[in-house]
Amino acid sequence: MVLALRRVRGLGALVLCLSATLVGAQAPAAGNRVAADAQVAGNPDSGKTVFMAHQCFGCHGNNGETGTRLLQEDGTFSPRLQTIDRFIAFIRAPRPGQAPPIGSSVSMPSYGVSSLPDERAADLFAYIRTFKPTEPPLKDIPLLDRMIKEGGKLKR
Amino acid sequence: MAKSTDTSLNRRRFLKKAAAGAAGATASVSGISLRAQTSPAPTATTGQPPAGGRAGVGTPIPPPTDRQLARETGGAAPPSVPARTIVRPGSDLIVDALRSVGIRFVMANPGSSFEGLQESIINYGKNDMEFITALHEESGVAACHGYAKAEGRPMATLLHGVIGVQHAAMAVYNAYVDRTPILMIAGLDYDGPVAAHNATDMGVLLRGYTKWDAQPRTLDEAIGAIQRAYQIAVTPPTAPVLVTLTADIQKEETAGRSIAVPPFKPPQILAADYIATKRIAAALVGARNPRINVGRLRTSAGVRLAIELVELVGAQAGSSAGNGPMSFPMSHHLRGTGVEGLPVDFTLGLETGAGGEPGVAGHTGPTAVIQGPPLLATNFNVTGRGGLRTDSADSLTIEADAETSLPGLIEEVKTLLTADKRRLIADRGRKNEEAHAQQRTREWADAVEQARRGWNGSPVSLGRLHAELWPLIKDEDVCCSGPAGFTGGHAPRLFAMDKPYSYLGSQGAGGMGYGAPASVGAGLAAKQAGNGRIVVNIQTDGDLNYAPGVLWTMVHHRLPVLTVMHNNRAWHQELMFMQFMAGVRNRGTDRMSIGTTLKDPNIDYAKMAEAYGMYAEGPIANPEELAPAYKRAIQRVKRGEPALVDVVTQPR
Repeated sequence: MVLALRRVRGLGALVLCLSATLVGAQAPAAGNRVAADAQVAGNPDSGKTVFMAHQCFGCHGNNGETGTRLLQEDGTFSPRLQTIDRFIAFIRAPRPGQAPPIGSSVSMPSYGVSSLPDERAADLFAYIRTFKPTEPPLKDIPLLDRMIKEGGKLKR
Repeated sequence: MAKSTDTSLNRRRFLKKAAAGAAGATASVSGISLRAQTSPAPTATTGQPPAGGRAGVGTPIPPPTDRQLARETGGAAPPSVPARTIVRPGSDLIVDALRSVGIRFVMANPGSSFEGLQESIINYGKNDMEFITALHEESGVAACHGYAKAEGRPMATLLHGVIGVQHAAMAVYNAYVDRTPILMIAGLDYDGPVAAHNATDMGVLLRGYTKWDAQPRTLDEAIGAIQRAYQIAVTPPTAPVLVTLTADIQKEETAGRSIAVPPFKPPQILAADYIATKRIAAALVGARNPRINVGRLRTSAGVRLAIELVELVGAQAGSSAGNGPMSFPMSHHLRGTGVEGLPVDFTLGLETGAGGEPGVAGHTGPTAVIQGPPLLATNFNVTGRGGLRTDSADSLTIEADAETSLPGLIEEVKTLLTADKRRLIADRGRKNEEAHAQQRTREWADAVEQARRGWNGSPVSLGRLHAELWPLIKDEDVCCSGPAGFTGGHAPRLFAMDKPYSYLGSQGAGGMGYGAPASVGAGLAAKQAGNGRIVVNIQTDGDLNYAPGVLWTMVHHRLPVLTVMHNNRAWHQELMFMQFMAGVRNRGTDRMSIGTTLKDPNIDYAKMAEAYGMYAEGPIANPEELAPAYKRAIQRVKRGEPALVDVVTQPR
């Protein structure tokens, strides 16, 4: 999967599409994740730079698993990260003409083209799509498994 | 002990004479002339510059006197006085007054305006009062804040004239909004070394957010003011109070005078009236499915009474123990929302929740709420506290203290319990207990699932930071002292919230610089309990940096406090606010770390703690290293000393 996300400079989208197709052929169960991969045109390495510079980790954690999660609990990406089009549409909101909100918010900031061009946004998307869950199932975490077995039954 | 030989010469007159004499000569300490070099010499009689001296904006600025200079440079020596001692200084009686109200700890950063009282506390009061050294007045007040929330009663703090009071101000505001009683004593020394430490009205500096203040003129008045201040502080709405004591009162000789501290009379706190009590009792006993929402009571005695009432009627019970102290135990078998689908037909609210919401907020149908009067503030938006529910014809709102009302209510309920009623209640209690068990299992599963998020990530997830602590403290008597609002809310979900002091809740007014000093207060309460209680403080990095010297206080006074740093290297909420703001303006978020982060250089909190003499580990970014570090730190804490583990964390 990771290899499929990496753009090989100079070969362009053809290679990407081919890679994605191969991955898709190997892992049809991945469903829409594969479809999303096919549209990735960004450079994840550059995307990491964007992610760090804009401190996206501030709300989403360094791996998209904490705070406002990018990776869902089943390990798939949230709907807004299924395709690059949906991703860019989301980060561009609110659109021109829409009244900006008043007051403080910890909601997702909007990013216009001038502050985050499409190419950088694509890089960011590509980087985010490299995230993999670091959280094993509960049964595979001895401490949490024990907590479930003890804590739910006993008065603490 | 020598007896005073000259009681006619009071200290104030003596010092004035001494100052005048000193001003007439060029003082020299260690061969260095202390005469101001660029200003005209002060006159011999007043110490003030002569007319035509160097002017500021409209007003001549007097140079410091020799005595002031000597004191500021550490060169001041005690004045040469006749052989003479004070046998029974006024401040000893102030200590007696503090004793009479049960003050056990007095925390302060030293200041000459209360040196008389400080000496009395240390020497005269040494057998039953401990002087706790603060490195900042804000920390001293915040420690009182934490102590009162853990203990349900105040401790005292001393504030140096004007400047110490000003340092304290933010923490006082936090405590005020948090309805927490604190006894503050400000010093006022008209003859002190810095004239700017005097004020005609000291209380005005805090009056907008203290419940009461006094500036007594005599020792008799001062003794009365201490007792009165304490009474007012612990009477609902509980809040900080201030007494300003002049140095003259503290230092005057009282030998031979018939001044005594009268016994303290605890306040008479208003309970619900008889008719209202009967109505509530009848509603509770007559309801098919009653609910009792327990907010924040005043003391642990109130919590015991609330438990008694809930068990007496087999009601389902709401609790704010996950938001703050002195509420219903979260794992009590009747805590929860009761049988699913069965409507509540009567709700009783006992005080507001930790967030200030009325005890029957969100409940429809017949309700009653007993809660103390609201705090008043003319200039600050604290009106969210204590609002009474009056929007329903079925609601009964009683402005009285719930804790004081409970004994009468319990007795009234007992008179209504027939055998049939007792059978119904027993059956209801069993169903509510089953519902509690199911609800608790769901809550626990959710809490553990929340802790799983980002489990193996590095930096460490907040869930793992807390979960790794759980097995190490679950069998301990724990006070979780720091606010959970900026630490993911894991502590109230994962740790036991079953004692009145299990979780001390938020800052009150959101003022930073609270967590660590409040933990000092919690640590004092734990030390006082003497039963092995430990304090766990999940400490945000931004908050600690306001006044980190409080770590030294923990070490110096051997307080059993475990500090676990939530070190995300930012004032993170502000960072998110700024990111959003930049987004609204379409200017990008890549510069929003400016002014919101604590990087370049990273702060090493383990080294910081070690500098203050505290056992420390970290920084830890690998979650696998957490448990061993915690174990070593907790061993120290259980021996009665503080420890710190610096954990580099995910931002949220």
